[in-house]
Amino acid sequence: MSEHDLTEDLLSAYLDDELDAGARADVEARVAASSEWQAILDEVRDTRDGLRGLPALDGPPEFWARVMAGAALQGDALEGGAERVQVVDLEGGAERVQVVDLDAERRRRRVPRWGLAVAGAAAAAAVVIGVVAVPQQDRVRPAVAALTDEHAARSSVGNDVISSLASIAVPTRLGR
Amino acid sequence: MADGIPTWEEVARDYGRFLYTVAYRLAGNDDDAQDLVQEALLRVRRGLERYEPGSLEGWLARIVTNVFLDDMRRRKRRPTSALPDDPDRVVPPAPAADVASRELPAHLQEALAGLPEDFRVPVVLCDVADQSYEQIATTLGVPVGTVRSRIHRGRRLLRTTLTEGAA
Repeated sequence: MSEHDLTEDLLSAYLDDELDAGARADVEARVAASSEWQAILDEVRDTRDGLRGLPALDGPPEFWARVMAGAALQGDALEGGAERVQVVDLEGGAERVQVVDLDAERRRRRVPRWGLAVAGAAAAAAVVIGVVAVPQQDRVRPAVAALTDEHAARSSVGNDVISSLASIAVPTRLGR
Repeated sequence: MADGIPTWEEVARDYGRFLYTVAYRLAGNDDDAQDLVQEALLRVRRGLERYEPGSLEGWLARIVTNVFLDDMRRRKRRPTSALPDDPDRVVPPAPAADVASRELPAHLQEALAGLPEDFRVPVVLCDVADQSYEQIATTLGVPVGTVRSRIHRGRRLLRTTLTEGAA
């Protein structure tokens, strides 16, 4: 890297060990020769060290309970999942968030498969009995059997079989 | 952890502090940091199946950064009013609500939060999330040279802010 290729932002890259050996040597030579670059390097180093010295942070005490619960709730919606959030009231007005295993809850509520099978068999049996075993009513109109019985009764009274037929005979016109 | 792929619970338990720290330094306040972490963990949950074992912190830093940048873009599209319609409905924040800010050197945190986003993000990824320039370039979708320039200018701006604040 030639001298005129050196730009100031190489100083940060130098501190972050992001330069190859040749570029590092160039920067070191430039810093050694320039009080301005030396001053900038010192300032950038101080700032960088200050940032890197900041402590890692924890959220507020109740934060992670809510994060876990909230993520579980959203995950449930995403995955048709296995958890849900439940807020439990404690004494003194405090609340505790807990995650409920929905799969376990569903298993407790679920009707067993053998129960469904029994119910299905019973329904099928009821249909079969209704269709096959129950005697069917004669729904034919007119009631032919009743009419023939009536005719037989009448004809037996007057011994005039032919005339008694008139009441049930269908009028017929002969040709001509 | 099976086959180098952590469960979601392991990520939340073992890397939650890392996520929150990066989120806080990007957002500059506790409320937004919490929102970022929650959204980031949701994306982690969605993406764990596709995670290829490697730098887990790098993967998480990329996720929380993308959440932050998405949020920034959303806010720019829909700027919120600084004043509510009904000032009487405003509930003042609790005096000690912002726990994290009390734990930090206030001047440095303020200076960081005041950095333009283009400089703040690479500086945080470098100095807080300990990401390489290459990783930062991949996360932000910019050349490594741009990352190098923004990190340096960001640090210089921070220095200027801190110096002016002290004067």
